[in-house]
Amino acid sequence: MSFISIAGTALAIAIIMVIIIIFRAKTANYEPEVNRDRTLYVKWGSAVSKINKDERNYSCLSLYDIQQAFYPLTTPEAVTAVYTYGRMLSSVPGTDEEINSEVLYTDDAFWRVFEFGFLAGKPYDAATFKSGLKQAVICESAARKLFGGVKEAIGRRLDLNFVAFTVSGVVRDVSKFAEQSYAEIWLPYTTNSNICSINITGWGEGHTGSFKCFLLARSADDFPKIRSELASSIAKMNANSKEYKLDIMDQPDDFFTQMLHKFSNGGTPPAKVIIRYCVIIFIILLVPAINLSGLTQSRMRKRISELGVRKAFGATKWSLLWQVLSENFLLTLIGGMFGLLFAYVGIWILSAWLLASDLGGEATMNGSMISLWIFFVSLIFCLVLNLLSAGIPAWKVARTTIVNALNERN
Amino acid sequence: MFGHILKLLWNSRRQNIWLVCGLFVISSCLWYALDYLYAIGVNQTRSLGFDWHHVYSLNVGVYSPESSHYQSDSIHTKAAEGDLNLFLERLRHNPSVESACVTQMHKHYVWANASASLTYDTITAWTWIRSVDPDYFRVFRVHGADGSSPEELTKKMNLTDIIIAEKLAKRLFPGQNAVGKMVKNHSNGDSVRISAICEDQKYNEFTGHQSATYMAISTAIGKGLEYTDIPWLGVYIRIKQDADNKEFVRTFRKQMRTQLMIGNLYLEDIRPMSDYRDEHLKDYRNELYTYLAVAVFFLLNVFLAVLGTFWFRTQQRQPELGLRIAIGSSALNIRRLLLGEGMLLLTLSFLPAIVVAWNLGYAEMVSTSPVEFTLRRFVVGLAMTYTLLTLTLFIGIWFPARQAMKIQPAEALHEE
Repeated sequence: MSFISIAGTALAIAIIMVIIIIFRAKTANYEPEVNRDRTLYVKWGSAVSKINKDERNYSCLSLYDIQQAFYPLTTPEAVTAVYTYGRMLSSVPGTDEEINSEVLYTDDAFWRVFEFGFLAGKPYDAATFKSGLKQAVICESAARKLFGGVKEAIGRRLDLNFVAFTVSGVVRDVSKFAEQSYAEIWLPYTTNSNICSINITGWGEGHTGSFKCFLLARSADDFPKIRSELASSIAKMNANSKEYKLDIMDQPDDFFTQMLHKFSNGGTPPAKVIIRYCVIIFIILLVPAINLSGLTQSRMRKRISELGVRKAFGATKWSLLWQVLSENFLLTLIGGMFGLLFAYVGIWILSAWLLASDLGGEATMNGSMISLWIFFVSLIFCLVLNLLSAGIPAWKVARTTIVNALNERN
Repeated sequence: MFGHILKLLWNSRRQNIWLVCGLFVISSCLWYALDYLYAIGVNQTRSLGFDWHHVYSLNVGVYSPESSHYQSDSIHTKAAEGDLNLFLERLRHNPSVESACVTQMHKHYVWANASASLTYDTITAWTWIRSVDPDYFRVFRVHGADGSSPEELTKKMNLTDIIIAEKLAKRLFPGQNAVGKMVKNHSNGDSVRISAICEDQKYNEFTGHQSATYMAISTAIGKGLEYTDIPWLGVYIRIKQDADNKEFVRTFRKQMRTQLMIGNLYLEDIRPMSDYRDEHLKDYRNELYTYLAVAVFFLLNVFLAVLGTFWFRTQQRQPELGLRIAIGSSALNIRRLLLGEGMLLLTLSFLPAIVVAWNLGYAEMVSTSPVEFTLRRFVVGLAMTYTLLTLTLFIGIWFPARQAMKIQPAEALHEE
């Protein structure tokens, strides 16, 4: 009987913890996105006609927008702009080794907004960025594949889509859950004249393009200040355009909001997602709780005469209630421990599904998934499940009159 | 027997109410999950309309002005079209390549589309507009609606005509033959002739059949194709079955690397279609797995609940069961009695679940696209739920029943 209670608890806790651990892995601060909680995100932009509101596009930001309205901001600690290029052919001259690597074009502030683990060398600095020197930061696995080692890569020539770069630094591989900073190779965007060209004639007058912008605040308390500074900065820029203006649609988003803001013309509101998760977790708790309630009640009925004796000797209703709940909590706790264990095993076995990244492929398990916080949360869920599954039976037992209890009448 | 079991259940109703409640909630939730899986299963039986096996997708790169390979217009007089045509020709000459094609605004398993409306007479219908070269039908093995081969479709594709999918043909020409008719294409205002009907295609395995129109892409020199357009084109090759192995990409690359450096073009990336397919289907599959996990979770819960309840019940009812054996009940009788109790409990809790299920379906709270919510789907879903629950119930009761049958009548009566 105890085995069944433990198994039921373990099952529920395992599923809930899988959800929580994955959620945590997607939202916690970890390398290189250590500042998620104090970063604001502007991923999308829309150019709107000043005359006809319906004439608009949905896209990202242009370099013109960023240079005019984002870089001049003073409240944020750092402002960075990135351009996701996609896969580039990377090869080392003189060898026939060729691989395709994901490339992210950035500026030099990128290395301040995100904190990468440098294994060798250093990032490109402001001077390199400004003069458009062709330097590249590559990830560890790319360095090993192309150059056979980390130290060996520094200062070597690397051809990217047949353009010659010099490797300036090697960083630890990035988890695919770090969607805003993930790449295998990072380059200054000033090295590509195509993406840097600014054209403020034509439709949209230079507003919207393919850039994203991240604003690192000194602390999350600065968010309202940054939002208002950005709004006035964009208004100033828009005043200079004749027919079109940039609309950033309720952005900048905080980390959680931007995660759900998956399309330029909208995303899922965070409140909706939170409610959905709460409903799911409630059902996952409720179903085993109903089942376990039946079991707890059966167990209590067996011992009803014992509880009757206790009551006859002066135990109060509350002390009996407490006794049943705490006894049951032991079982729940054992079940919870197994549940947490199952959760980790489950994530490991089903990683292709559970750790699937929006960038394609799967993220690796990382340190943020095993923490005191996770342990604490599972303890809380055990407590809730315990209350749900033993609450009603305990209440019933505690209410039974002495005579009925001693006569085993429930 | 039935009345007898009912009486037994009524007598221990306080205990049974928990099980009935649990089974009711589980039946409803399990039905929802199984209904979803059934709808997906039904959709899988409808043909995909193209064959992605042994097809590889190529990205054609263009040297940027920063590259030392870059040839400016002054030294490179051959236009982008010329480079691209040579690129395709060299692909077709590779011994392992069966056919090659180029597409514009149409990539299977990638969200890149153009759409427009076609009008015939008074009927206007929405459709995807896909620009492809004639070999598209050979590369993706798209057959004609009449069962004709991809090669025949390829022959029927030319610059002035279009090929449309069967679904679109049925919408524009109900009860008529569409071949040879003229329709107006609203994307450019042209009137075009329909030269053939191809089989219906899904966007991917999880969608329904969609309307599609195929137009010939023009790669003739001077037709306005620019170098900047080329990276956005889809270039696909179908390779011979015996050439398709894990090493193909590596060897193909080594073989073709210098051959495919043509003018300002080079082979940037080559990946099997399965890569794009896996990426594209990821979200659909994740949802599918989630529903599967939900179904398994509920079934395990049923198992534990039934096991627990009946374990306890047989222990508690030992005197009763002993008496039954003493007065001549066989082991089979006892098992039948317990299973009967379980079945009746399940059926009792299943009845309200049917009402919930019907209401969910009626209110279209279940996914109705691409598979409609019909009476048949409703009944099949319920039958699947009931069968699975019954099976789980049997397993859950089996162990306690076996225990109960081991009771020595004397011992049991002694207790009494």
